[in-house]
Amino acid sequence: MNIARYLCILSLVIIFSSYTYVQASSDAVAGDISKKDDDNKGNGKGNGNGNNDNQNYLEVNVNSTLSFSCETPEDLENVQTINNAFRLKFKTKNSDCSIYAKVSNFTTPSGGNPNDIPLELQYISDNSSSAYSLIRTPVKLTNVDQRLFVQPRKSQTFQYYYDLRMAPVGYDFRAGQYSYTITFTMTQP
Amino acid sequence: MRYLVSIMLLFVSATSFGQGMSGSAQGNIKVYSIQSITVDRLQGAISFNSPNDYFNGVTVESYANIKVKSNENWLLYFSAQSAYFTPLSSNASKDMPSSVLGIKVSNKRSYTPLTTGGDKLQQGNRGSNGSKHDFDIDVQLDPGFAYNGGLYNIGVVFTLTKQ
Repeated sequence: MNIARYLCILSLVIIFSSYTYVQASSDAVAGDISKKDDDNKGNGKGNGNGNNDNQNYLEVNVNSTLSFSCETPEDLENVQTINNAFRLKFKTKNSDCSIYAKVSNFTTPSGGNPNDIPLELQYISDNSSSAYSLIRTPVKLTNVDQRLFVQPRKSQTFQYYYDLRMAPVGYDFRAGQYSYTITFTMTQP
Repeated sequence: MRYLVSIMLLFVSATSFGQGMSGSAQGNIKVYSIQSITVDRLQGAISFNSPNDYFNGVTVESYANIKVKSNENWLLYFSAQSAYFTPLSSNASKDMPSSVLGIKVSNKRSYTPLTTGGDKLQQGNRGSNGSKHDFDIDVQLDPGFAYNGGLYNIGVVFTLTKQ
C-alpha cells in the first residue's frame, strides 16, 4: 500500500513537470526571448538565449505587421505579399517533427464567408539540408492543419522563412474588416 | 496493481500532451468599397447621310460596351455633361438639347433621353461577371429637322455608385 502511495505521488510529480514543459514551450512561442530559464529544468538557469536548448521547441517570429489593404481594383485582382513575414525557429533534438500551419481564427464582416480564406504561405528558404516533404509552392491556408515539411531529428537550431500572401480576392469578397490568426504547430511522431 | 495501471495511464496521457507545440500570429485585412467601370468599343461619330435619317433618327446598336466591377451592390447612372450639344462647326445650332440622344442597355426595349439630371442605366450585385456586369448599350439620335447641319459634340457621364 505504501508503494502504491509512493507511485501516486511520483505520477503527480511527472504530470506536473510535463505541464510545466508545455508552458515553457508556449512562452518561447510568444516571442519573449529575453534572459530566462531556458534549460527546461525549472532551476532559473540556462544560457539565456530564450531557447529551450535541451529540448525540442518552436518559436514563431513575425517580422512585420501582418496587414493587407485593398483600396484599388488592382489590389482585389492581384496577389499581395508580405515578404519574410515569418521565421520559424525550432529544434528537433529529441525526435523528428512535422510543422503544420492553419488559420485558427478568421472573422469576417457581416455576411462574409468564414471559409473563404485568401491567405497563403510561400516558402522562401531554410538552413536545413535534411528536411523532406517540403512544400515549395504557395500553401493555401484553411482552418485545417496542413503540413509544411518534416524535419528529422538533429541537434542544430533550424530556421525556415516564409512570405505571407493574399490571393486575389476578387469582387465577391465583401468590403470590410477581416482579422485572422495563423497557428503553426510542431508535432512529433 | 489497479493503482499502477491508473498511474501508467496518467503518465501516457501527460506525455502525449507534451508532444505538440504551437505558436500563433494575428493579422488583418481591410477591404474598402471598390467600384470600377470601363467603357470601350465606342463606335465613333454618328452620321446623318440621307433624308430618312432625319425622318426616323439614327440608331446604333452596341454603340459601346460597359464593364462594371464592384464589391458592393451597385447602381449605374448616365447623364449629359451639358444641357445642349456643343456646336463644332460654324453653321451648327447652339440650341440642340441633349435629349435628342437616347440611350438603353442593348437587351432592353425603350430608350431614355439624355439629360443633365441623370437616369439609371443598370444595377447589379457585387461581383465582376455576368450579363449585368458586362453589357452593350444602344444609342438613338433623333434631332428631326429643327437644327442646322453641322458637327456636334456632347459628353455623356456614367456614374457608378454602391447601393
